Amino acid sequence: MGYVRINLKADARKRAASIITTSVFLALFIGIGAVSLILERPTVSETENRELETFPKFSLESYLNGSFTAQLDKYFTDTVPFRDTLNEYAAVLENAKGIPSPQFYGVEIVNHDPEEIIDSLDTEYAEITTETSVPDGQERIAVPAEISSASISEGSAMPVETSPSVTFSSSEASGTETSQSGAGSADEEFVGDITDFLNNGIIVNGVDMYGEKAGIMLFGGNDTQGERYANIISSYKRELGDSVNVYNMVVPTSVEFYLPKKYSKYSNSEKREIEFIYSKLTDGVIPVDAYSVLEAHKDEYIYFRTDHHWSDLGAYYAYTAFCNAIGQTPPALSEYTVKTKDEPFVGSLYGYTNDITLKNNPDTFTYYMTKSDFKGETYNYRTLTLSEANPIFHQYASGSNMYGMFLGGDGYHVKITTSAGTGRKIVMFKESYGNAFAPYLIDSFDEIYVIDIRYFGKNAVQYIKDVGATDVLFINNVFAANTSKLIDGIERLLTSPTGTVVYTAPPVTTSVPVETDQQGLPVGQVSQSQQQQTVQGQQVQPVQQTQQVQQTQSPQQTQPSASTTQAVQTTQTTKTAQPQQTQQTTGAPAVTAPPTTTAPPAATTPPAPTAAVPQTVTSPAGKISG
Amino acid sequence: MVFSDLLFIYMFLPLCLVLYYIFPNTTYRNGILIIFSLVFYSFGEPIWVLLLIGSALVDYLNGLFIDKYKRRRSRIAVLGVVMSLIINLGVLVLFKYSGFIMENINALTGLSLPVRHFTLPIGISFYTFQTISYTVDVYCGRARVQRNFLNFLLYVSLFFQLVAGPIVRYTTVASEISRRRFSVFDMSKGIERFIFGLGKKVIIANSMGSIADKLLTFENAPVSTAAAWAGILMFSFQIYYDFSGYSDMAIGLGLMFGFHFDENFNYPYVSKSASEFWRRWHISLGTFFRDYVYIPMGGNRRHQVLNIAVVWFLTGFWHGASWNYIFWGLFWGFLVAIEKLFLRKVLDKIPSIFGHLYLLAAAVAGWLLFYFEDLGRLKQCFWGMFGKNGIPLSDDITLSLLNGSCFIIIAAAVFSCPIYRIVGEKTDALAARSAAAYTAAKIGENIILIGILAVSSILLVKQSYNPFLYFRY
Repeated sequence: MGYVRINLKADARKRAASIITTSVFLALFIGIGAVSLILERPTVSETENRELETFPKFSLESYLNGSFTAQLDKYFTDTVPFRDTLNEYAAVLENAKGIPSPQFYGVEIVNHDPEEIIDSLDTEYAEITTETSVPDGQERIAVPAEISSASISEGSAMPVETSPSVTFSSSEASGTETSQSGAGSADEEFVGDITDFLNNGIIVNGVDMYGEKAGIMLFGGNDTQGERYANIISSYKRELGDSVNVYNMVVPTSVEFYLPKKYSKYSNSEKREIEFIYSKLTDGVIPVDAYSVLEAHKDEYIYFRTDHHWSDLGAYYAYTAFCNAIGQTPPALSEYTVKTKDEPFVGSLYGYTNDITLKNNPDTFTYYMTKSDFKGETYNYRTLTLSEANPIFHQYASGSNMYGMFLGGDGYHVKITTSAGTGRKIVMFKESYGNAFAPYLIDSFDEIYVIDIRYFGKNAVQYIKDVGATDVLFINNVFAANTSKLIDGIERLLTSPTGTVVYTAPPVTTSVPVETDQQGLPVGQVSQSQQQQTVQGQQVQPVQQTQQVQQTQSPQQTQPSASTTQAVQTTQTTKTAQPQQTQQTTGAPAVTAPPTTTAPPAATTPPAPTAAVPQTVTSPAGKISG
Repeated sequence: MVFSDLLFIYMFLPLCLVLYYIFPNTTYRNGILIIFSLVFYSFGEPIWVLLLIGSALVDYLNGLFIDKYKRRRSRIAVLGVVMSLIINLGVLVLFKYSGFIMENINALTGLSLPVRHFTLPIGISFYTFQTISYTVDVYCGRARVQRNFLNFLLYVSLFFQLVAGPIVRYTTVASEISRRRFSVFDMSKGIERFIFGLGKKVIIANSMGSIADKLLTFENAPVSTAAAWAGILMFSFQIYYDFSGYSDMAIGLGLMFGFHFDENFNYPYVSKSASEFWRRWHISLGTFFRDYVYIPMGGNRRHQVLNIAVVWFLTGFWHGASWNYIFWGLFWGFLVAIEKLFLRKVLDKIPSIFGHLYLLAAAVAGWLLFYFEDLGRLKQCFWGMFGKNGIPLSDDITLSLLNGSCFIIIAAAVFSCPIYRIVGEKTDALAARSAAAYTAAKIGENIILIGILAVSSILLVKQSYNPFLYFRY
């Protein structure tokens, strides 16, 4: 009897325990499910710098081919409420899986002499070119191909696959949005270019810079591309003749000075590559040795730990090397206004690796502002019409976009008029490394024209002649100088009448913008007319460029509907009657308004292309995913 | 959709549970389960829902046919089995093996017949076997015929085991299809099982898998000895935790809805011989081949070696249309055969540690065959394991990967032994002895479960892509 009673008691206890377990977990499943329906879902990820997946449109076709359900699934996981916070927890958990140790992101195991793999790199480089269709009305220069899904699975892979790499579509063309986008769209740009560079992956945590843990992108470049780069720059000099000095500066990156020796086999030598490029320059192109001066100052804070760019201090030292080449004496560092952002800076390398080590070792963002007077202006990079004043130092830039501080980002064609009084005018061709460099030129040239190689709508030689430049500078980091797409860009600027801008839209007669602005006029048209007024009001503007506006009207007005809507929204939110005011108000949006409003998701979900132009795109996807 | 998916855990499952338990009546509940199962299936490729329903319909009719002629004691009844086999295996061969077969015919004869690779309908390898088990069992008198099509469709489409097993035989669930009792014991056990399975998959298997893939995806460089061994060992953990985790989740889900499935895994890595391993690994597949191929062919009594060869060829081939799977199957068949011949007696006499070591070595060698569909890379990895690639034995990346996940690797090794089961039994025993101790143990268990659920969910936010290995078999 006693035995039975004990059993009964035990059963009752077990039953109670089961009821509790059941209630707790059913409440969790149902509760979390219900709450996740009620809470607002995020649309962008700040830390990953990308637009999140969107809710799919239902159609019988999309249902039957499975894309509806697949997208629904992606949407649900991607837009989980508090996802950025949860992702941070996930990074902490991933870190707790073992003893913190060097992390290799997309690094392939190398067991032999680095020289040997150069050949295989070349083959791979060729193989991973992919065809990407471009929606009409949008010009595309850089479209990172998708990272293979396999690599995404393990969380350590770089989440570049959905990064909206190309942001300059309709909104940029409308001209009213330039300054407004500010740092917001600028950073999308540099997210784009990092993946375009042929790299060997990223090492985090095995590397120290300035006494703290850092991430470093490994150099995977090679001579084949380097030689092409040198040849094309030499042909600029041939075209321009003796009256224009052509300088070429190839900038080393952090991997060259901070990679521990034991990892050197994972990265090719930048020094050797830069020397190789310089040795191939002909026709009197003047090489600028930034390497030596950067190396001499490598104990100073000249690169970022969490970002693939150099710091403003690094750019300063490169500037001193450039002054050497142009026969000037640079102002001492003490002659600049030094400012440091209060906010810590966690840059692109964190965006790619999501490695908590980087988040825990943020950068200090210091910049040097010239005390000289200058006037900065932004031109529409396609039409070359003036669109905004540009403060050059966009001091509101924040978050992972902080490097957008300089010039406001990559895609802007900037003109700076200075009080240097040297009688020299310079046209500078650059990728993002040049952004930090350009402001230093204020003390050396009367007029500075900053051109991003990837975004310029005119023939470069013609332009250099038009503005009457005395000097031309090509400044690129060594990854870029080894990247075929960027070299293609330099070549196209030389040979094509429309530079690197590719018009893909056939003229469509039906007017697309149906939404109207405050005055009841179609927004697109208003911004056009505003643009022209500005042009007439500006005397610095060469006459010829007004014609350019006329010629290029149509591509701007024939945007695909999706991105037009984006542009319309942008314009509506800012109501740009006076550009100057926009300037003021847009300091904050970089923090408060997420980049959605400014960056059309051009690259991620192209709105059904009607006239798609296949474009060959090279991406290091294979390398990154490893 | 897969079980380790936030959409499933926090949307599909709660909705299904609520709707299911709103209805008191089994017929409605079955209806809910069918609807949810078809929706679940359609998350992959909606078009194949039709194939699934068609397949169910065919074998439902075959069952009726067999039953009708059996009652008349007519030999025609066997035609129902033949039809079932032809149709099911035909579909399987068409979708899964036709490309492989054509390629090999082309390679052998020098012809260039057109090779078409179909996308494999999800779960087809599992549900075709399930419906075959039904018709054969009806014919042999082990199962009674199912006259209600919806009940039969429920059996075939039940989302718990539809896409990646276990291969649930009709006889296992026949009575529960029409009569199930709710039990809070089952419910809580089911939840526990589900969450443990989720943790196995998301926390352990995915971590192991990411290391294995990084180490074994050598393309431009030969693989170092450390990388080859670590990669294969991590894959051995991955495939066990992945697949047994899925089975745990399936069994747990079954319990939540009142179904009792058989176990599919029983700590295979603690085995001392190949035959024991296969009594503990993917049990539903092993017993399927035993009962529907090996024994009908004559089992131990007639041409046993041939029977073993056929069964293990099929076991390997079932896993994929590629030679490496066939070699993998035959490799196990070879071990099982020599164990039957003499090795068993030797193993029984020597200390059991040698049996364990022998089995682990065999398992790792097996996974090496299993992992590489490309035989060239298989060879490269094999030489790498024995330091024959002419490179340093170790490399930075391997060491840092192993270091960076060392706690999880230790956990994976520990939990592949029956720790959890022993702890569970001890806890249950406490219930009879001390209320306080039992309460404490249960509270501890629930906290661990919540922890696993929380950690898995957070990791899932980050891992947007985590298919199960067995999803495509």
